[in-house]
Amino acid sequence: MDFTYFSTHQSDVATQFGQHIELTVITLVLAMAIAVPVGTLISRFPILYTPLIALFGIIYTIPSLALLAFLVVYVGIGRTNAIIALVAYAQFILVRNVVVGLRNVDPIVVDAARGMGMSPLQIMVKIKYPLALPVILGGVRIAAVATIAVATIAALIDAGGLGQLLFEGINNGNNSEIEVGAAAVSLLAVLADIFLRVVDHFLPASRAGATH
Amino acid sequence: MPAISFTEVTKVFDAGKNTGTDSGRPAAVRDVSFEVEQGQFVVLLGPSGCGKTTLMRMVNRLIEPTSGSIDVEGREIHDIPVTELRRHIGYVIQQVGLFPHMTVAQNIAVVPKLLGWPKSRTEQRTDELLDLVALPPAEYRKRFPRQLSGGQQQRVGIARAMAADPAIMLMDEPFGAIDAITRTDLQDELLAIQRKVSKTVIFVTHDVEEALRLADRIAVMRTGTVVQYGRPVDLLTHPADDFVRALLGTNDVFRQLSLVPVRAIMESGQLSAGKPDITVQADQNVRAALAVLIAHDVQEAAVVDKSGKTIGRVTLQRILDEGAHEVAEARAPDTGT
Ligand SMILES: Nc1ncnc2c1ncn2[C@@H]1O[C@H](COP(=O)(O)OP(=O)(O)OP(=O)(O)O)[C@@H](O)[C@H]1O
Ligand SMILES: [Mg+2]
Repeated sequence: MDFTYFSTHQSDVATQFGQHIELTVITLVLAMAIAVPVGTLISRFPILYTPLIALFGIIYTIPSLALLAFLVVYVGIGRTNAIIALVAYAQFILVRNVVVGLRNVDPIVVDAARGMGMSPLQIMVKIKYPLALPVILGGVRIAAVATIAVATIAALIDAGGLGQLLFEGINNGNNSEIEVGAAAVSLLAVLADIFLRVVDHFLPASRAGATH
Repeated sequence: MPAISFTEVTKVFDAGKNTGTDSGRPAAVRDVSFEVEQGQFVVLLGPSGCGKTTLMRMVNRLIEPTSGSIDVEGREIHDIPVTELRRHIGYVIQQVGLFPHMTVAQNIAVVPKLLGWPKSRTEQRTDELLDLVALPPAEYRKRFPRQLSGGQQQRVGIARAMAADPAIMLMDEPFGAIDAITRTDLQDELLAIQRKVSKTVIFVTHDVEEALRLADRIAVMRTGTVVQYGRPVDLLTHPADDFVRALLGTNDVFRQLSLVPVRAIMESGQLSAGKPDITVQADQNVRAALAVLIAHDVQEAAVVDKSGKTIGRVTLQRILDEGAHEVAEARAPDTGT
């Protein structure tokens, strides 16, 4: 491995590493903001499950480069384009896990909550979401790693991030730059995975052994 | 004022979904009317599918009656906001349904929290209840449900239902999934708790022995209707029909006597002066009292409570009357049925 590029371009690499994290975090936050209500709606009205999951499934199978290129037509190049594509990709995994997580909450427990006088909203906030959280977070973990991977390609449409190192390195025949880029992306994916596993470990439902 | 009164309560599941009012389905509960007095322990007894759970869950509106009305403490249940109604009625089920992501203390604190109790009061109440159900607070407060045995979980379930000190408790086969020995322990504890705090309890079971041990009143149910409602001893001595007779196993006199506590047939007053001082415990069963009388060759014995205080007397004549009555009832030809 040749990491000489890193010693000469430390601040560039750091900037792109930061951009990549930013892109991932923004994507996941927006994606969750959509997936949680959509998943909740589906668990309320199960008839929506098949059509919506089919739709997200189709989006999920579109090659990322094709989707990014397609979006250029409507929103031009840059970060917005990348974020829209990444958020759309993440829906399949996230919505599915929200639905499964909520569906797996023991109906007996919900019945007990109702019998004790919790309102439907209180049951959602205090019982269903906390109990579904480990499964939902499992979805976030998979989506995070997938987003980090796809986000490298987004460098092609000027969205920044570690992909720049890879494509620049390929264009300039700079092997060290490619290796530094690849190592950095891998490192980020592994760190995200570990981070979310640690978070999961501290969830009340996981600590109590409530789900597994 | 009765604590709970059922007036012509009927439940037909899916009623009205088809055209017309009669959906063609049999009623799960049909035209049930009876009253539960304050502080009474009422057992709904009957075979599987007879409508016990359905009748009970209508009280806290987990199931809506198709027709009829239910009054709780003099108010029709639909005149009370549903969450408020439920927060003031304790609810315990066979599957316990503890919240798995909350500790024992958090589980018990749910209703007090909903009612906005201050934290210190809730904490004090939690410890008090854990003591009451024989789970030392220091050891159990911070445990999660997964770290408890089935019997311990049900104890927490009962403590949770009692948290905000509801006047009424609904208990649906709370000991149904628990082994026989633990079940007897829990029944004893429940009786002890009931003597201390005297709540109005509706308790569902299909276990006859459990019903006879616990009940002040038993409502025997069959295919959606209450066929007899009365004191256990009355059901044993005057079963309304063959169904009740068969359900309670009225044919075996000794078994019956062993299920009735002495306090149920106790008479008031002291022993006649000069008689030897034979005593029986009020909580002992009549069969054991009979053994004592026979062993000492006496006609009567003093009935004492746990502290040894005399609270009445039990006579051989009364026991024989009870027994003879049962034999007569049991041997009576099936007139007209
Ligand atoms: N949600 C429901 N929808 C349709 N039918 C129901 C529903 N709940 C209960 N029933 C029917 O109503 C009748 C009474 O049921 P219920 O659960 O009250 O019986 P139970 O006496 O509690 O029986 P068990 O001792 O087995 O618990 C049964 O025939 C049952 O199939
Ligand atoms: Mg039942």
